[in-house]
Amino acid sequence: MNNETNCCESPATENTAITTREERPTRLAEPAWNATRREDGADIEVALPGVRKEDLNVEVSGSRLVVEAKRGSANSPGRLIHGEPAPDGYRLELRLGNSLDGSALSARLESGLLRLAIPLVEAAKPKRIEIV
Amino acid sequence: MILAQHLRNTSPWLSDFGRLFDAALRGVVTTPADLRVHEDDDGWSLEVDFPGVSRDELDLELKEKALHLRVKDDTRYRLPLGDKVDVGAVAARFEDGVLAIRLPKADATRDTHRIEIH
Repeated sequence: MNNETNCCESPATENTAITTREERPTRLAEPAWNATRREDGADIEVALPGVRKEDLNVEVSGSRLVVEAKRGSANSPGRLIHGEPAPDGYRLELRLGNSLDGSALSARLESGLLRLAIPLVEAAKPKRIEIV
Repeated sequence: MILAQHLRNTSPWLSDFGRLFDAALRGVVTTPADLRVHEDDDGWSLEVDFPGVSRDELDLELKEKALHLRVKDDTRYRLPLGDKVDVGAVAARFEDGVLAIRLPKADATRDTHRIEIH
């Protein structure tokens, strides 16, 4: 089995602050993520607390996987007296390895955790060879 | 938890909150690292992210003027509340991996007695 971490790479982090019409820029954080290699593909878990399904966008174009999400309950009323403010949303960009079939990706969001399953491209799948 | 000095004076409740805990209690850790606390006129709102955790894996108890939170049966947090919280009205909800706890302020008039002047 291949190295577990090389199925997806995170390109150099860009400045993800987007200025909206409001004066305060939208604060997007890179979410915590974790990838594991399976025999027939890869699983990626992305922590997206406070994100609802309708506010989540997962896009694959070629080998580029982009996860964008808006955080709903970004802030409680009142002023923050302890801790870091929650981000307004999340953005994660990963480059998928050539052996992964991004177009066949399946996604599931549950309790603020996104689980992506990406199968191997047909040519990369293990094949049983009959010994005659 | 180390609070900024300017917070200590303005919010005695919070310095109480950040007290260090009995190290003798195994498995009890301090306040969650990414705890957010908002204050408004009526009380405090606590938020902690627990992505991927289900509601059944969280256990929240209020005893001896402290919140006791257990996550997945192993991580335990104890959050002392001090005297300014109306412990009878504490409410919590868990949505999209975010635990939100509402701590209403105790009625400020409770320990203020108006003295009628006849």
